[in-house]
Amino acid sequence: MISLRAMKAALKQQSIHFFVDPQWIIPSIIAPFIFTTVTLFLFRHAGGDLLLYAVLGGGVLGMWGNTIHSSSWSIGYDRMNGTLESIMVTPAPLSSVVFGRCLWNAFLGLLNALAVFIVAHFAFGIDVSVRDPLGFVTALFLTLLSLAVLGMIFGAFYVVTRASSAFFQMLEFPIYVLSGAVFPLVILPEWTRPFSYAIPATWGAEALKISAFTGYDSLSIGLPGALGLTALTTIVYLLISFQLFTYLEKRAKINGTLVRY
Amino acid sequence: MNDGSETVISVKDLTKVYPAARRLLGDGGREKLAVDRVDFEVRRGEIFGLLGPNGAGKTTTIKMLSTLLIPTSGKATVLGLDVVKDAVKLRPRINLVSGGERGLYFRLTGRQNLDFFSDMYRVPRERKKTKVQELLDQVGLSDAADIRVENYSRGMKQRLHLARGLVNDPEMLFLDEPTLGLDPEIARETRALIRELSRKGMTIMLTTHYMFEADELCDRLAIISDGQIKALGSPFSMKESVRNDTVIEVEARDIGEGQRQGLAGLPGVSAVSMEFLEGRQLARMVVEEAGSLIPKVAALLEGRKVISIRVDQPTLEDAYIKMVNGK
Amino acid sequence: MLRDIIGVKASSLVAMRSQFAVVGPTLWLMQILATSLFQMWFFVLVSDFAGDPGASPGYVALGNAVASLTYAAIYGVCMSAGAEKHIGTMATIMSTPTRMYYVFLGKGVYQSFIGLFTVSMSLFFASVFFGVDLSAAEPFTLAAVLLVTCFSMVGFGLIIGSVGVYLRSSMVLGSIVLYLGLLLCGVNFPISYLPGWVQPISYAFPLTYGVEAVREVAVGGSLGDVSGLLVAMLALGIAAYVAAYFLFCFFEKLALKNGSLDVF
Repeated sequence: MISLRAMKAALKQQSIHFFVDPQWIIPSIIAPFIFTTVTLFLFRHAGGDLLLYAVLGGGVLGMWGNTIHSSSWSIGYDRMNGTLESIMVTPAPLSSVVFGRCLWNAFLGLLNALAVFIVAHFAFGIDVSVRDPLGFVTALFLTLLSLAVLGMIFGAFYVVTRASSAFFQMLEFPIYVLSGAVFPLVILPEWTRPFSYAIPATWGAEALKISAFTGYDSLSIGLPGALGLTALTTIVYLLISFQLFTYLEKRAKINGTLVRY
Repeated sequence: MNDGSETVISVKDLTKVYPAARRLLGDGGREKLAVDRVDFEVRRGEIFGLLGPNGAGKTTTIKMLSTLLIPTSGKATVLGLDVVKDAVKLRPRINLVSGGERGLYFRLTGRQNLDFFSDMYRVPRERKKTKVQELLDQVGLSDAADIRVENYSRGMKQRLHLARGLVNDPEMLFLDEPTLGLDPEIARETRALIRELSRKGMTIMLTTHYMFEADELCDRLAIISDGQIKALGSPFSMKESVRNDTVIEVEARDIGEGQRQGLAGLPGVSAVSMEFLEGRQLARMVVEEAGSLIPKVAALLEGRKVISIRVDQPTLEDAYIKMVNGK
Repeated sequence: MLRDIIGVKASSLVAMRSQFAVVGPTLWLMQILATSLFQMWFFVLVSDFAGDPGASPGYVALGNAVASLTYAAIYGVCMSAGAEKHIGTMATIMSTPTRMYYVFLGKGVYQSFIGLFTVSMSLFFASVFFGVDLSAAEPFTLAAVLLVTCFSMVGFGLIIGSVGVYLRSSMVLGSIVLYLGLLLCGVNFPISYLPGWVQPISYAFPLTYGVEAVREVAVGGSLGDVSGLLVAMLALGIAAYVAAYFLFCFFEKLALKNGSLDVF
């Protein structure tokens, strides 16, 4: 069951929290910004597309990092406040509440990415123009949506145990590696491909690169293919997340773990 | 008030066992029997209390009834709906107020908290703003509505909890220790509000470990201890259960658990409670007949500094102690 | 003095127990090892793709191995301040005779063990998975370098942690320092790559000296060869501990005056 009203209320609530105490965005911004800058220094002898590659990758990492930290914490914050039970006793589906928050976090991720592009252009003088602006924007929004959905998966596990945050923090760098945001997937060992392909961010990053660079199509799937796979993996994860919420909420109510922080 | 007609809550053989925590390494502890085959009913319009010591199973019971915990076995219905199978249908019609320092978004204002929960309860949009203001007025938080909850006093937070609990005009309201930690004036106001809600027809179930609160507010109550119902009835009928008993109250210095056990072991003594005050102790014994026991009490306490021994009428607290601790 | 030492020990024990109350040892171990391994792998892949001979994959792997100390030494100590605040124990601790500085020192001691364990495992990963050759490294010298690096970085962590007594949290500042280390301390590329005006900032971080010292030891450098770097780190570290002491006193007074001990 989906409640648009609950989603909207949760998005609004998350935004209020952000504006009241915006300092918490800094860890999410600083990490991808630093990674992008490190990458730029490593790529400094190259030029043209390779530098944009680094910037693009950094932007994707920015969106991804924000999702991991903020989305799992969205339930963690309720645990800390003691409001998880207050929400679960309402008719609003918890999955809708979490999705609303994840959408806001994904939007902040977009701002992260924009910050990376702006600094890359003005501080490093990198040309950030893209080949197919419409395709790029479409890829960007689809990638954001896919990240919001992944955030829901993380949030669902946090309903049943506070230790899941540790588990998902562990996933941060593996995802950076496996999504091939800052380097082509082909340089990774073959055995990692199934893991890479299972992550929506991989296809999102691919779609962004195809639409940004001339002649780039490392997996030979074209922009429609990359967009399609991003959408497909997103839908699959969305369906999984709804099932997960139902199952994990039930486990939390059997174990009585809703109130523990 | 109670018109005795319709059953709103029906609980049969309700049991909750918390499973042991699973860990890859080390012991996660044992499973815990928190509620053990309880049965009771709550009628429409009444204030029903669950009275018991800490860890008795009060909160677990109320959370099962408010759909936050899944029972291990047994059956419970609220407003005719099963608390497990019909949880989704039930939630719009009930609410739970847990109180305390947590349970609110402390970086949001009081008004923003209520706005959010209004949306969670799908309060009609055209009515939402008015409803939130009405609630703030009702609980006396209008002036503080736009201040962040982190700057609220304890009493203000409790009032906001109550406002949140009323946001959906619930038919059934669960209150978990509603006056815990409040100063007497705020606690009195809270109890007055609870009575007012009951007068307007709301059915209320509350948990408390304050005897006087249960006595003052509840139409009926259940005494729960170690997960089991020890007694069920009106406060009057519970006091009647100790009507033929007497209380011997001993005020002394330098008496402790050893003396308490000794007193409890005397024939004709139903229960003994001990209160530790500043520099002295107060032992209250519920007994069948005081006359013959007083010399035995004095003999047992020989050598101790006994300040006074007096005979008293039993209160609800004595009935409670007899039921919870008695032989 | 004895009371302060007892406070340090008690604080270390609490740090350890509360960590494992939420996350079991297995998951905790997986978390720190996976983070260190995959962070290293990430930058190694970037370096491999970039093909810059001045910052080869081995160079990057070794730098990231040493940088793994930062999570515990700086971020771990900062997290403690935030955790005490939002759990509500900071005010309680403040009301005891033990100064907050010693409480955090205790946490620093605990995080030092974590940090040394992490960096040891990271060096192992670097040599096994990313071709870093440590065969020429003299174990005692390497251990000494890592100990001194850890010592000075915990001091740094205490300085940042002190801010958390007064402000809502020092975790934000801690995370800034954590990531800046990857950029400024010669972890992923030589400091000479940075603009001239930035380079002096690099030498304010103990990690810079630690990374350089480990690189020297890895190619067979002796204790004497790295003594200058060790002395610099020790000096920085001692200065950090002393500064942290006074900063704790200052921020404690400020927090008591403004009532911010409970504000998170």
